[in-house]
Amino acid sequence: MTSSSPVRPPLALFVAVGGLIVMALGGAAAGLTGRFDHALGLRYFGVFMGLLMIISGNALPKLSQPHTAGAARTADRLAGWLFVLGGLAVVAQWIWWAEASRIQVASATGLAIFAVVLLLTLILTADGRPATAAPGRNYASMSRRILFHILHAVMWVFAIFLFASSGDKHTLSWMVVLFTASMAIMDVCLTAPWRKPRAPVE
Amino acid sequence: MLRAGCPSQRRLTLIRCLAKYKSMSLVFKALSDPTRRRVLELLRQRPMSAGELAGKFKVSKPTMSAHFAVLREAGLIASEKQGQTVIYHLQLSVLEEAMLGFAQAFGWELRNAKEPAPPMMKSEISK
Repeated sequence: MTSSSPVRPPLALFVAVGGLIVMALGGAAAGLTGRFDHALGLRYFGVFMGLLMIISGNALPKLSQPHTAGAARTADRLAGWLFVLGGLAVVAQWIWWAEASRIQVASATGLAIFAVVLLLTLILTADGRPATAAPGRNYASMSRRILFHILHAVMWVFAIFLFASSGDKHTLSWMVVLFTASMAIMDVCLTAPWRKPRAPVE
Repeated sequence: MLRAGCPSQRRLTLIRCLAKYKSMSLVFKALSDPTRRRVLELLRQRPMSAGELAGKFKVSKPTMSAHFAVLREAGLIASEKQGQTVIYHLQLSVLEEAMLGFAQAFGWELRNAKEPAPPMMKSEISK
């Protein structure tokens, strides 16, 4: 099987990741000058996380693998819509919610969206039919892997924001460790090549 | 005339390169035709071959090929060759799917005055 459609690098994703890095470095540099308002910076960062969620959710159905079954494609479409609508809700909460509970509410909303997406994906793909791929080919394309990494990072940012309010330094340290471990596990799962051909899906 | 490698030429190349990534005008053009929108709706059910899709419309195969080319250029469908058959599958982002829904709801149509009305599907004729 060969694809005749043109392959385009995920420019929008690179721009999103680049923007995140620039924001982080800029915020750190501004913080060193002492003129940086922490609450405002946190709000900007939260809004940016919501925007990342929207951009990634928008692109997710478009990066669906051609060999996947109909249920997996439906899961991609639903996940895309949920991330876009959820991202809009997160952005709105970061902008307009009361400051006292803004972080907790927005982060909880974001995490709830991820939980619903995971649950729906498990339900829709419960029959266990995998995608077909030639031996030695990875399941997920490069663009799709980048997208999953971005969504995974956004999910952990929401989790860290939510639990950071407890003020326990040990909790934060453990969450960073868990994030690093889960990132590595996810990368292995996404990049492991198929060893033998699977049964074709309908 | 710009010399190859000069700064202006490089800027122009970069602009052209960025413009190729997404042109919303191509998406609007693709969604403005009812036949192409119907093709997208059919592909939403499952991937289909070019012949299978062409068989559902009362137009010639070259005309359908032109529609497929417009949809492919807009990045709304992707094609895959399986032997002698070309299989098309949907490749819509959430925004494009929303635009398709709006186009269907409000009947977007971009036609010249001299162009004929879009052909009816075979299923609609039999009703």
